[in-house]
Amino acid sequence: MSLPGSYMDGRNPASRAVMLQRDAHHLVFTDGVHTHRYLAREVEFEAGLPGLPDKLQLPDGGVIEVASEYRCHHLSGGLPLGVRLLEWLHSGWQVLAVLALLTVIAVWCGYRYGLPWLADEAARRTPIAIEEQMAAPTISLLEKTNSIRPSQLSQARQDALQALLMQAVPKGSHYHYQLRVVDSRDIGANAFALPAGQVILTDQLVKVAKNDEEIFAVLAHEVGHVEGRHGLRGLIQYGGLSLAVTLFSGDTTPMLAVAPIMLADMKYSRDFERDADRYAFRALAARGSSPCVLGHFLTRLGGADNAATSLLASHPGSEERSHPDGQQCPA
Amino acid sequence: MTSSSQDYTLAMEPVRIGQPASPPAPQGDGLGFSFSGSGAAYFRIWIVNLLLSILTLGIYSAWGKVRSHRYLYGHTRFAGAGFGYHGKPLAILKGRALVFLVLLLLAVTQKSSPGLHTLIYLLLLPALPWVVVMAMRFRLRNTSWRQMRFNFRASTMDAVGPFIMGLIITVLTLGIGFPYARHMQQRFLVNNAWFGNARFEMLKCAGDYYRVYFRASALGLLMLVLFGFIGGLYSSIISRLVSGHLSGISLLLLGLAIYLGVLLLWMSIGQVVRDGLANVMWNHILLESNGRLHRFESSMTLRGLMNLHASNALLTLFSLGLYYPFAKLRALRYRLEHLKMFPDEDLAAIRARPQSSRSALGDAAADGFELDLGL
Repeated sequence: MSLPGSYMDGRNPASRAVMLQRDAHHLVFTDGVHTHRYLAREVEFEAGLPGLPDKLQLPDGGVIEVASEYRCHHLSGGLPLGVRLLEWLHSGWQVLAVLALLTVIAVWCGYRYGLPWLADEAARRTPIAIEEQMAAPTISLLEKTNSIRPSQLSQARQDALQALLMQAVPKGSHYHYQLRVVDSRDIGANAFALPAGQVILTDQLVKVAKNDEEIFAVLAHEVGHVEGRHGLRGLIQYGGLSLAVTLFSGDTTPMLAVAPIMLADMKYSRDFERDADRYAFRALAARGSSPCVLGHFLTRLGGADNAATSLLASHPGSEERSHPDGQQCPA
Repeated sequence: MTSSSQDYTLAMEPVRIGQPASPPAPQGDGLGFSFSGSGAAYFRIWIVNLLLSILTLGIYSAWGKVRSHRYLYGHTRFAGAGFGYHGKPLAILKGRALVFLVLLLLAVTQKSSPGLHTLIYLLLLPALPWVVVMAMRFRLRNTSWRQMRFNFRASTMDAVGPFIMGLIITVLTLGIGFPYARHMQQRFLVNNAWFGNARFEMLKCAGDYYRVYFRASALGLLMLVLFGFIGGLYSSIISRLVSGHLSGISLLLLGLAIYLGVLLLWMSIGQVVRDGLANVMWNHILLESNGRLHRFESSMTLRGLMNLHASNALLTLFSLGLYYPFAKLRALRYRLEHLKMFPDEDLAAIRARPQSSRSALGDAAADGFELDLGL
């Protein structure tokens, strides 16, 4: 079996018609003057590109283009396994459909389980000192922008609140908890935790609370964030999402990737909130209070949610949070 | 092949160097470039590449790049022959792994230790000339026409001037010197490019670079104003409809519209500038072989580029990215169909020069840092 082809030696632009043959180990052809012999395993096959001739790249920089009505399958011995595999992967819409299905499943599993697992494992192995470093810029940013002022509450009241926070901290915690009560109109009635145990509580929230149990519920929720290392895990998960989207969106603009990343990250954020809620429910139950306290208080703070925007929200709806572990609370 | 009556020789070199920033006017019809591939075929290569890259956590992307490049180069036709791409997947994979590690290191240190983060950046800066030279060398040595390889013949030290000095000029002039720096860098890249024993040369044209940047920014500003006007009109209509209050959903829609508009603007203007500069570059490039000068002519227009890239961006966005491979081919076809070469002798007289071994490290590094080499 011999194939017609066109030979270029890579040293000048001219091409010559040749007849190509193959024996057990060699490709053989003659250009009219010389007979050329190459070991078949040193020849690189470029096959199966639509609309282009198959090419045999020779080890010395030359090439044989096989005329387009033939393909180099016709050479005895056929194509190397890798080239055949690639050709099969590009062979039809059925293969493509299977690939697409597999990819969807892989991406979903990676998003739902893979990345959170990875972030959890990485967070466990991260020294607390690094979490403390992460918290520092947030505090100084709040102070610089004048959005927080010293609390108007008495020192005795602040000490009592610190004691309340310590009651929500589990025994043997690795973190050094510190409560900062601040006056902030910008933030409003709110509380938040920074990695490594800084909990910030506003005067405004203390005023809205009817009793200390409600404040305890909120503080326990924040302790849940700290104990679950949610700050660090969230950062790693966001980084992982960004990396994945950026790598696979290729040379399209990075701005295109921002919206999907943030949308995907919101689910992680809601999961952390649910996790912190569960911690607060347990802490409330442990001191004999009703887990319903948290949901009631949050509903009074947040007002009504819009169900249509729940996919975009960083927190679960108040409706869901009023049902600790699925149980019904009195209205 | 056409042959010009004028005879350029090496002896005329002083005339060429002292010339004002425009090459001699083209004569004859010239040889056109064209693209013979199909959108459907390239779409399949692209989508299989994307899916397999995700499934293999990025490892297949090196093989995918080779396949996609072979397709695009092979269908880029000039004087009856396609181009060839010879990059090796393993070389590309090695380079990508290195870039990935550096990016990972930057991401990890960003929040946890800002000092180390800055240090890595400072260490990367002097590596820029090396990355540029390696990338160009890999790219050109692995490109062929009629199996004859291109080449890039410059050392890392040669790149220090245009790239490090270019950066310093840009910073010191608060950005006003940026087009000049780009012009300097592009001349460095072209002037060290070879095809066999034929050498490329780019004439000075900094003024034209400034013109492209000026017109593109004016266009961008105009679109921004227009867009702000439409956005304002939209929000005032909405606010009247819902009696002075923006409801959650309409606020969301407005935000989305603004986001998409800015995105479209960003995507298209960047591409228009890039192609506008390439247009200027080709009109100032000479290829010198055996003492003869071959010229190029590129006839892309700002309006044509804006139409092309704005519609491409729009279609890519609304097809959720699926139009991307078609957009890429459309842009490639537009560029090629506006490019011509005016040879001064038979190109078959060009001969190869021997060259040394190659590495993909610089190429992948340049991809990873989104370095625009514009060739």
